[in-house]
Amino acid sequence: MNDQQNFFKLLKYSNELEVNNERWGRNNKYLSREDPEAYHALFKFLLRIEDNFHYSEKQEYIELAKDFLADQMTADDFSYSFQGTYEGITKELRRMERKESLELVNFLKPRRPQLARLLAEIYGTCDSFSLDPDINVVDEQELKDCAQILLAELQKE
Amino acid sequence: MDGNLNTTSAYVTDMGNEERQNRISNILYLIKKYCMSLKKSRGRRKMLGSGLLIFRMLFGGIQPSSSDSINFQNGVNYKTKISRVLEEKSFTHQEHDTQAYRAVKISQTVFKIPYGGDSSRPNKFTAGSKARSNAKRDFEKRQTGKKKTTKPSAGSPFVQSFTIEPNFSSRPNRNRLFRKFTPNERNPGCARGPRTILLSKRGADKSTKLTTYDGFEAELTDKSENHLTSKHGHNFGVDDPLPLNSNQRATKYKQDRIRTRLNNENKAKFREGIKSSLSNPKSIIYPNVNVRGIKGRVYYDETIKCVIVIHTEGEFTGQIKKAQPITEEQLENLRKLNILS
Repeated sequence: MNDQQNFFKLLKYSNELEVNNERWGRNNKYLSREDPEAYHALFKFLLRIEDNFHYSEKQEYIELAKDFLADQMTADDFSYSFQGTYEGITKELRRMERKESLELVNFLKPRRPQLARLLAEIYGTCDSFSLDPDINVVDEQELKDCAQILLAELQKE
Repeated sequence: MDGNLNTTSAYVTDMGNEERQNRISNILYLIKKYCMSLKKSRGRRKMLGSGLLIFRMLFGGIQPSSSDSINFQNGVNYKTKISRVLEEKSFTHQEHDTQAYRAVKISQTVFKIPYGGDSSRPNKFTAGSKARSNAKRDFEKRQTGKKKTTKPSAGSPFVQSFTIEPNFSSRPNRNRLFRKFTPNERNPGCARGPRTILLSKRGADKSTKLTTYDGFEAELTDKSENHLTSKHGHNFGVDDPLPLNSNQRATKYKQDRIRTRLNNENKAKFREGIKSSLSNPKSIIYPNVNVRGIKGRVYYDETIKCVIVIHTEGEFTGQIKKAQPITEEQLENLRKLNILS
């Protein structure tokens, strides 16, 4: 059984549990508890797919970073836009997983751990940004630094 | 007695004119009246006086002489003086009330302010009236320990009209100026409502106490709730997105749904979502996670794939500072490295 077959088999198993959970109410059964080994195997596939799916949408991130660095949007707008893009991509990926879309095979490539970690960190930085000085722990310059690093990381490949 | 009266009337009738006859008839009437009074034994002196009066009427008219007039006036003045002296003497028996009474009397004359209208009626708004009410109030103050014989003064309407009472403050709606702002539903503004509503007074950061399913106490402050609702309301069941700002880019991933409108209803929904995740016994706890350099306790709700972070050190210990969805990458870091960025 190759990676693709194994992946779809585990994905189907996980989805069946989730469908039952939705049908019978929440907190019933999850793959992580029912079969931790299968869950970890599936999780590795999902990490690869997620990394590559984000990378496939790198143009979205590049344009966002460019707009912000060119002062065409405010730091607040950049923070919301970045989070929206990151969450939107994740949401789309979850939708494809539920549908067991064959397109997922295209993203079963080797991981891009550096990009994945960078995107997750920028997401956290954007999440901490606020216009309320009592809440804000990130300033605009820090967001610009993030945008600069992201742009450099995405453009080097 | 009757014989004397008859001789007098015979003498008078000899006078012969009509005027005298009229007078005589009056005199006879008076004589009869006095005779009746004499029967009641009032004494001879009165009879003599009445006789002199009759003769004065017959020969000198009934008008009193000028000297009598002066004496009459003097008599009246004398009696009045006596009455005033008596009146003042009677007040001296009251120890403290004298001064108050004098003050009232003086105020009635000295502090009288001319005003329009019917001057015959006493006016409540004169300085004299105020002085009178002051004297009355002073008198009542001195009656401490004594039983009140009269009702307490209702107070001057003039004074009442300028009295500041808590129910009727001098500034109308003074307290409403800093109250919570509530949007006008008839004028909701563009995009179905204002983008942000100031939900509480500045500086007053209210908080909600939440308890996790394992008994850990957490606090969700109003400011954190505003921040997290705006950023992640849609991840916790709130479906009220704001449209894009004019300078925001639209992408194919519907990033316009990321910013949730801030209002009490959405905040309450978000709070319920947080409460539900924290009270879910299937949520996985990561007790010692590095959250951007600060230790925190993370609750991962696998059902909605979201994490909630409670700070366990630093300035915001015990407060919920993160409530966000989590990706596979973030979950990997959380599991293996105990890090949440």
